[in-house]
Amino acid sequence: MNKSEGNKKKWNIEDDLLFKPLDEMEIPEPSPSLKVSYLSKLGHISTSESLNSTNRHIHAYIKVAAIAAVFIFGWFIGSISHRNERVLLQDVQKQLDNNNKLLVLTLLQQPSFSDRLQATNISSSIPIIDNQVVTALVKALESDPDPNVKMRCAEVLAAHLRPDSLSTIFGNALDYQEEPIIQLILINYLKSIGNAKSKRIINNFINSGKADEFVRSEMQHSINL
Amino acid sequence: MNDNQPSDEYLINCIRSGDIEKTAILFDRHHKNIFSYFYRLTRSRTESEDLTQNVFVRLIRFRSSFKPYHLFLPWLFRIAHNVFIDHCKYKSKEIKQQNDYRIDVLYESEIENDDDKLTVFYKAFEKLPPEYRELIILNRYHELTYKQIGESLGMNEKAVKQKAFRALEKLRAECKK
Repeated sequence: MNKSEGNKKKWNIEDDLLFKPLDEMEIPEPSPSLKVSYLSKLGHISTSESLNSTNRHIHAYIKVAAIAAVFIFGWFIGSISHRNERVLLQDVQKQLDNNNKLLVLTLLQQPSFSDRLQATNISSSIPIIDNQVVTALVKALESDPDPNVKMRCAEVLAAHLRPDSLSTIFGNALDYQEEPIIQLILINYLKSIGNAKSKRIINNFINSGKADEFVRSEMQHSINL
Repeated sequence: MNDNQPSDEYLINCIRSGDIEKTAILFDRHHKNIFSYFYRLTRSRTESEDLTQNVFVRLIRFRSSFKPYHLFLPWLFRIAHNVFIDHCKYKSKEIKQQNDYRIDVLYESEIENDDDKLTVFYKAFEKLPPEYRELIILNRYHELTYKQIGESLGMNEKAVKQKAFRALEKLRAECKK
């Protein structure tokens, strides 16, 4: 043992006399059964320690498995809720589109020009317009008394329909137009479509007596250019 | 200690690492020492044996509290000190005495002959507070330095010196009565 003698108590003769009875006290030897008993206890402790160690390992595995299970469960619940959320959003969007469609159809029937114009604005926000809306917009394009509503209808239809369908719709609508500005707009749309059907429609319309004088001169001017 | 023998500190580190069987070697080396410590305090062979066994059981349980900077023997005596204190508390509860550490009360039944010099000395010795008695026994019979006794009893070296001085003064005064 590493100990410094300088730090120990120095006992003098007086102390030795004082402690003589204690010094002379006979200390018995511990009984041999003490060692036997302790070694037996040590065996028990050793066994329980190794069992505890094994249990600790098992507990560690259980912990890892439990954590993994919690993660998997969380992911599963998350994916379900995410899927549900997506389905819910789709349902809401569908419902919203349906409401917008009904609103468009209703507003287009209104006598107020601003309501009908509002209907065309709403129809432009619908991602995919169905036949009912197309029919209503075409009807408005052909017969609405307000040129602004007609212009917006043409715009919305041009944004949503394929060129072939547009040629037919705009060709038919052209026959109903009296305002030069609408005639000009529809012709320009047909020109931008640029297929044979559109060209034929434009030619037929200019050569017919239905075309406004201003529109005819504009078309001839553009052809000359 | 034989140089070929592993040191106590090496053995306790092995025990800390899980080699509990090495406790048997430490038991062989130190159980007599611990037994005599308890015997001087209790003068009861059976109780000293129980307490000695308890010390080596606690050694296993609290092995992780041994730090590399510790010396083994003071650390072992610290366990012995705690075992003794717990034992006194237990005994005092048994006899429903308020003063937990009065060994004269605890071991009164074992004092057989009042004329015996040892008994007279013990009557004076047992009037000392328990830590004074432990301090004297550790210093005189187990050759621990003040610093090591401080480690064992949980106090600093200066306090140990002061208490050793006071313990001797008190013991001398009691013996003169």
